Amino acid sequence: MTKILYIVFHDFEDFEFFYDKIFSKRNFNHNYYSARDVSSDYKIEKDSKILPMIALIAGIIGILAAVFFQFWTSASDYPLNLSGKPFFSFLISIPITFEFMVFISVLAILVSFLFLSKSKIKEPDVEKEIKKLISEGKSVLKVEAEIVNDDFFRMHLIEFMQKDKIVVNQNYD
Amino acid sequence: MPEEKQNKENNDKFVFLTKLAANSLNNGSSGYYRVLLTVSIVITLFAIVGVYLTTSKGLKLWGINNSIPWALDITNFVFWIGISHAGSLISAILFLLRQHWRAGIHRIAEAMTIFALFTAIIYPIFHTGRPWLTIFWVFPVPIQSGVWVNFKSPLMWDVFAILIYLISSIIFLYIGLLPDLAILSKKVKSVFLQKIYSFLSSFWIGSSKQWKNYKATYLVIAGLITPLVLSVHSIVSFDFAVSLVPGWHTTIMPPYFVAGAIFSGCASLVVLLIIFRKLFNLEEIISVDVMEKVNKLMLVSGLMLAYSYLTEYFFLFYGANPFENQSFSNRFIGDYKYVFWSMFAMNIIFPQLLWVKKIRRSIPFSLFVSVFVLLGMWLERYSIIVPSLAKDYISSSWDVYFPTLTEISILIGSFGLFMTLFLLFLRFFPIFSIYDLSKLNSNKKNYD
Repeated sequence: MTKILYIVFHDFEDFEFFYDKIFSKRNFNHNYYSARDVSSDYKIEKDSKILPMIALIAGIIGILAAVFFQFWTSASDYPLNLSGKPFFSFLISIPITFEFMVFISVLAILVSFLFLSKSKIKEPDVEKEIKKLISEGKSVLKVEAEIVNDDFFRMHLIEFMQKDKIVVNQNYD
Repeated sequence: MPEEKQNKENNDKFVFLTKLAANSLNNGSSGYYRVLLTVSIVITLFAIVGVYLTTSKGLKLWGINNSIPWALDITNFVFWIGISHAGSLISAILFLLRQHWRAGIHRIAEAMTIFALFTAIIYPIFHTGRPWLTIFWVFPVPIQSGVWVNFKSPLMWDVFAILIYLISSIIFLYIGLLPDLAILSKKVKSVFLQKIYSFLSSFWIGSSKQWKNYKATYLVIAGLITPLVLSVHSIVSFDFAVSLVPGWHTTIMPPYFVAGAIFSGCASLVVLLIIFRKLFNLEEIISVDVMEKVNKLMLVSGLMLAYSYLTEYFFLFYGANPFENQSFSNRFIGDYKYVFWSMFAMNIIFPQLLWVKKIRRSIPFSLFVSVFVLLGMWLERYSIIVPSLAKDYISSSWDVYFPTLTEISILIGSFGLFMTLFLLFLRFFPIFSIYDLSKLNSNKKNYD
């Protein structure tokens, strides 16, 4: 089991300042919990590209499904002669195809968002406490305890502790 | 130290916004709120009575006839669809354009979209005369003898466009609400609200990964909703434009309808903002600066609409089609001239007052202009639909239309329904976005 440090910041701006200062220079394994997102996030760049990609793929599936469905119903399952018009035309299928594409994309990204954003904290008490802290406007930085061996990190941690801007808790992961 | 003071102010701002939102949910409703809700419910009763009479006695209670089968109901339908447009404009398009002033008002705008769509949907459903059969007519299921609905019909496109717009708008609203619900689930006193908020935000803990996913999702949905906004009213305009009725059969219809929809939606938003900033004491959040910006949007969309009118009249002059001329002369100098010229004054002349900064920043004047714009836009839809059908190609089929009390009661009741749904929403959900507002004007520190 790894020892974990939870650093609680009373103020979001202090947290953002600390975050920028440390993670612009060091690449420590970390996670944060906050009522707001930090503007510069130095971790996991890949994540933000997955969801748009899912939306794109779902959109393409939506287009194909809508065109096929309209073709099948109008020209194959029950071809209905309406004033001699062609049974099917791509142009006339554009409105429904477009709407269906948006629908499938939006649904897919919502489901993926809910699925990918599941909380990974194992202890319910810790999760409950973090939820309470962020509802009070506080921010929590989660790092491995070994990080304090780094001089750069320790220096800033002590500076913030001396100014009474943070509270540090320990736990096990 | 100034830096520390700034930090404290920013954090205080978050605490202040959370308290403000929680108080409005905890302290119960004010006297004004209860009065407004009661009035709205009473007005809704008009619609309920009208709809009950229509379904029990049939469409003979409406003033429609063989020549004018679409009249007040479709006018109201198009009007409410138009109102729903500014909601997504404010929330999605302004988000993509990084217009941060939307932070205080986008929740109201998004809710406006949803409830205006709910209100709009009742018209085509009851116009069918037998609403209990609607499911067989509008959903893509095989009906009698295995025949499918006609996907080539713009009416079918409407069904898809509006339902998908409604579902997408609800999802967009939910995503926007998520961080606020997580915060407020610990702040609201009502156990019922706590349970709802906790359920809706059960997975949300504000982790870095969740924020990354959240931002990507919000951006993509905003990007998808933006063309949807433009497509929905374009498709509504196809109901008219793809027909051969003189006065309807014109290619200017889609952009003309979209401009009109944004125009009326902005006017509706101004009216709602004025009511709710007073009702919930939100003068600081929905400031005069924000009101001025929405008024500017209204002015710009009004100018786009005026340009569309001019283009349409130029087509009329240059095309020299006798049937089109006949149809428009019926609007300009015929039976419906009062409707047309009132519409022209309210949509083109009154909004020009918004060029004056003092009027744009004046709450009473903004309300005055917006109400006239709403009235003008309703008259515009009436002026497009009824006079065009009243006199088409064959003079033997010419007819006139007078709305009946049943139709008028449904029209009046629809405003009550819209307002009732809106007030109930604001009673149970935060009226503004704590997350967006707390980000606004926060100063990120410089280091090194």
